[in-house]
Order: sequence, then structure tokens, then C-alpha cells
Amino acid sequence: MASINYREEGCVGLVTLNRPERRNALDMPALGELLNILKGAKKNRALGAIVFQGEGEIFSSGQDLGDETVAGPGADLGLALERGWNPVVEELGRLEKITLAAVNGTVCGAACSLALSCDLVVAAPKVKFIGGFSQLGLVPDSGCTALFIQGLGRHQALEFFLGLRTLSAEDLHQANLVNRLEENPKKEALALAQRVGKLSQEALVLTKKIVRHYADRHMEEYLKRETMAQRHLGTRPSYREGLRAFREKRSPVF
Amino acid sequence: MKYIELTENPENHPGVALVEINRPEALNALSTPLMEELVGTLLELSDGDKCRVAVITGRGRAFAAGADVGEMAQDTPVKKVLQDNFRFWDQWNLVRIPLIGAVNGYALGGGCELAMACDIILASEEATFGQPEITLGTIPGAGGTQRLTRAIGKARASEMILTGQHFSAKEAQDWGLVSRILPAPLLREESLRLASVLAAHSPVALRLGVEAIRKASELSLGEGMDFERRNFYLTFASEDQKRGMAAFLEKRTPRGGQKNGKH
Repeated sequence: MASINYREEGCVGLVTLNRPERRNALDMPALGELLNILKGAKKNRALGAIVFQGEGEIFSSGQDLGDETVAGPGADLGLALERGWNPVVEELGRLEKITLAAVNGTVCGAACSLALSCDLVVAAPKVKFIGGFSQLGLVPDSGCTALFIQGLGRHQALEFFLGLRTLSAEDLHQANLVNRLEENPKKEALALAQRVGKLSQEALVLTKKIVRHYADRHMEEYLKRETMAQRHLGTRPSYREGLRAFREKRSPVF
Repeated sequence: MKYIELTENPENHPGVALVEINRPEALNALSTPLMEELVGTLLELSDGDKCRVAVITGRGRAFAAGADVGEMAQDTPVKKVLQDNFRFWDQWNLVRIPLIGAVNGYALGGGCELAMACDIILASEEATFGQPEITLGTIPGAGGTQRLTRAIGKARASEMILTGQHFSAKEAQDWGLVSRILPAPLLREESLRLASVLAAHSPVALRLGVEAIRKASELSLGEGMDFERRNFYLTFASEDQKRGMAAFLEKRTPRGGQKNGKH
């Protein structure tokens, strides 16, 4: 079964993160699939919007920590970001379609960035956004730093990054990082996507370009800094302890 | 022409020529025959009296993805000397009209050097720059080490050339290599608009200005200032200068159009 399901309905593409047995966590092959889907969608001129959702009750728990690329001996976390998450996040910003996240359930780690990098975000109000990076002895990555700082300001963003608080979709709605709170975000996101799909594609592409040119002006640099830090931290004993603790479902002792 | 599409006065922009590199199946790789056509086209435009500004861009995903590696992989130094494939590049400075590079996609290796040989560089948000020659066991050969170093400084240029890594349009802009980045769908139109702003000015002043600016990367400050001063004086031999200044004093824009390049 594919890790990512993709289908198109008229002017809307629907991406479903489909690894329920891994809480919709994404490994390198799944990220590759996701990137290929985006590249394919780019070529389909009939398509105006793309909705991202998670299969079942969760959106995505981010990077699959069972993936040898990040958990194996000599793992290079920098490479996982450069080849996996960063290109996806950058493509979401660049893609000449409106991207919508239908956040139906918990979002962890890098998946926070996957959701918030979309152009529009619809979320169920009680959904939790969990950083989780600090529990692994890592820095936030995949553009999380840029996105949360932009919405929350540096003080609250840091509190979140350090794992001192989790954030609900309601919190992020207040911070202007979520467009709408809906009990059924999948349905609402699809409805929005269908409306977007009927707009003048030329106008919506340029509208997106202008908005993102401003909003993403520092993204590339944040991605590079995160990647550099993660590559370093991925080689440290703290990360190994973080991974062990995660597997043993206990708090890490750094 | 086989590799170059030339459109004069495109979309009603008088005095502008749009020069498109059209070898998309090879990502517009700059083979010797292609360079011969490109430089030949530019020289003809520059020598004629209709075109005042040329916009150079690429068709497809690339502006120009480098030299033609297939063409040179087996070359020996002696063959390279005798073939002198760079002779067309060497004629670039004989093009006297301002050149606007509209970088629509990959500008790698020779493509990056081609962009840097233009007087103004605009780039699409999707453009990617780089001098990756080092990854092929060689180094730039058409000005990359010189022009990139002058454009973005020695430290950055050394990092880019010695790692061979690509850099984005945004980085190119932050570092001063390109003057503006534009959303891809607007690149062509905005480049032509910019070209037409230039084309409305005195062709003599344009040529003398371009010539002086190009000297800035070749001469010492004193020599460059001296060169500029002489070109400045020379503009006073043109009717455009007389008309332009008279109009300024009378608080109106110059009437009757500007004189063309050949006097």
C-alpha cells in the first residue's frame, strides 16, 4: 500500500498521508513520494488547489524515527532534511497551486511545518501541535523555526521549541497560523479548495507569489541553519539517548 | 537560425530585441554552434541601427545549463587551443548595446557565465545559479572565476566555485549578482518593459554608459574615472544631449524621439 494516497477530483488534488500504523509518520521513501506527487501536480494545469490530510485520527507524527536514515548508525540528519523534508516544504511555498492543510488530528515535529507551510490551514480546534524536538536532543527543523517565530514571536516560539508547552489549533488560530477552526476540517478544506479551484488560476498564482515572497523571505536561511544544527546534533550522544527514550516511552536523561 | 529565436520589437516594444536560446531538449547547453549563432545575432543587432537593447532569455526550464559537456569530454589541450571554441565568447565585448539577461531557470556553468556577461540580470524566483565545473574535474572557462568574484566578492565566489554548489535566485539577489527577482510568469514581460525604458533613452548615451560601466571591472578607479569623463564629454557631441537638456530647462520631456545609434 502506498504511504501517500493521491487522487484528483476536478480542480482539486487530495493528498492523504497514509501510514496509520506509524501514526502517519513519514520516512524517506514517503517523503520522496510526496515530492513526486507535488511535482506531478505542478504540471496539471487544470488543478487549482491541493489539500493535505492525514488518514484516520491523526494528521502526522512527523519524521518516522524507525527510518534507518535518521536512526541507523552514522545517520546524517542533515541529509534527511536536505533530501526529504526541506524540498517538500520549499515546494509547498513555490508550487503554483493553493495548498491547504486539513489538520484532522495531532501534528508532531516536522509535520508541524508540513501543515503550516501550506497556504491555508484548517484545523479541528482541539488538535495538538507537538514539537518533540527538544525531547530528542534536537532543534526544530523543516522550517518550523521560521514558521512559529513568524506567528508566535520569538518568546512564545522558544517556549514551544523547548517543549515547555504544547500548542492547540486554537492557540495557533490566535497566532494567525491557522485560518479556520472547524470540527470537520477535511470537509471544510475540501470546500475551500473547490472554491479556490474556480478562481482565475493566473491571478491566484500571482497572489500566492506576492504573499509568499514576503512571508518566505527568510525561509531558505532558516532551513539552512536548522539543517546545519541538526546534522551536528544528530551525531551527539544526546540524540541517541533521545531516540532510546522515545522507543522505551520514557523521559530522556540527558 | 537553429538555436536562437530572434524577435525584434516584441509586443510593441520598439528598439528592443528578444533573443531566446532555444535548445530546450539539451537544457540550452551552450554548444559552439549555438554560441556562434548567439554572438552573431547580438553583433548584428549591435551593428544595425534598429535595436537599442537586447533581452537574452532561455526557452524551457533552463536559461542555459552550461557548456556542451558531450562536445568537450574527450578534448585535449592542443585540440582546445586549435579549435579555440571560446572565440565567440571573446567577441562578446564587441556588442555595444546594453544586454539584459532574463534568467528563467538553470544558469549553471557557462549559463551562469552567460548571465554574468549581460549588463543587467533579472531572475525568475525559480532561477538557480552555479559554477559546478569543479564537480567535473575542471574550472569555469568563460569568465566564471573573474566575473562571479567581482559580482559577489572573493569569499562567496570561492565558496561557490570551489564547492560547485548551486545558489538560489534569492541568494543571487542578496549578494548583488542580480538586480531583481520576479515571479516566473512576469519575467518576460518585466524584462521587456525594463528594456523599453532603456530603449527610450539616447542610444549614444546608452552605448557610452554601458562602455564606461563595463570598464569599471577592468580599470583602476582613476583610469575608470578618466574613461568615464571622456565618454561624458563625448555625449555632448550628440543631438540627444542638446535636446535632452533643453527639454529639462523648459520643464518638458524631449520631443520628436531620440536619434538612433548611427550618426
